[in-house]
Amino acid sequence: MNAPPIPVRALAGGEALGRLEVLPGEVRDCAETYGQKRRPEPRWAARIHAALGDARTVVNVGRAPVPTSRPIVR
Amino acid sequence: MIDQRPTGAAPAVRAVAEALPLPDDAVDAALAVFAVHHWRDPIAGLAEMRRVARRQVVVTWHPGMFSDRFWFVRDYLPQVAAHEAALATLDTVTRQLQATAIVALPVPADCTDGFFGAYWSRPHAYLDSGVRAAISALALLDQDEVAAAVSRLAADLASGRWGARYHDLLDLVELDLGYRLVLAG
Repeated sequence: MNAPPIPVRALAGGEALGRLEVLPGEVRDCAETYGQKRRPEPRWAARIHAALGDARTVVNVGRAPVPTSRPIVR
Repeated sequence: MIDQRPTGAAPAVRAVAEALPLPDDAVDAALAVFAVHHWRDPIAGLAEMRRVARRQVVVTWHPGMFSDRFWFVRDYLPQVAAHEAALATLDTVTRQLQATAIVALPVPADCTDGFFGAYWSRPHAYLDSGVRAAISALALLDQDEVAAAVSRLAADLASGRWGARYHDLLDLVELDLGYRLVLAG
């Protein structure tokens, strides 16, 4: 349950992450087919990107596939 | 789960939504795609999204609309409706966040992300156990009930009954099954 802390500097400046994904701490048994069958839907990804707007840093809370095209800010 | 992530994916940490490992206002936006209903305490998780980000973006769905509009639930597996009524979905998300917009997410006929409603125009997909295993709504139901529903669907596809009833669907390029994008903050 105890999540590893994220260094604040990792989010503020030189090493800032464009996206950080937080996966469930208690990882359920997951189907072996999950990664194969669950691929981001590009037309939904476009709407999600539009909703994120000019956000430079995004935390993705969850496990579903999400668009990966948003560049990582370095 | 982490092992199945594509190469090039963003950095991942294992944590829980109810205690995001980030300081207040740490990021510009918090995103949750088909995630909130899996959290142990969805209200606490949504509060965390507000704490760490000024903007929240959530993909969820309207369970009543889903059960009414999706033939697989309506005709073959109505037990889904009772199961989903207890989940934190669109109503919970809009009540807990300061929603500024709710955008419909119609499902393309050739949707690449194999969530529950993804194969509305490709009914044979639901006969595939690998497809079903990647759908949490089916994986978490009584498997005897799922097997019975799948058997009925297989029989209706073989007999032409499904096609006779739903051939009009095959002309559509997308269908609104109740999936929604919530913008908040």
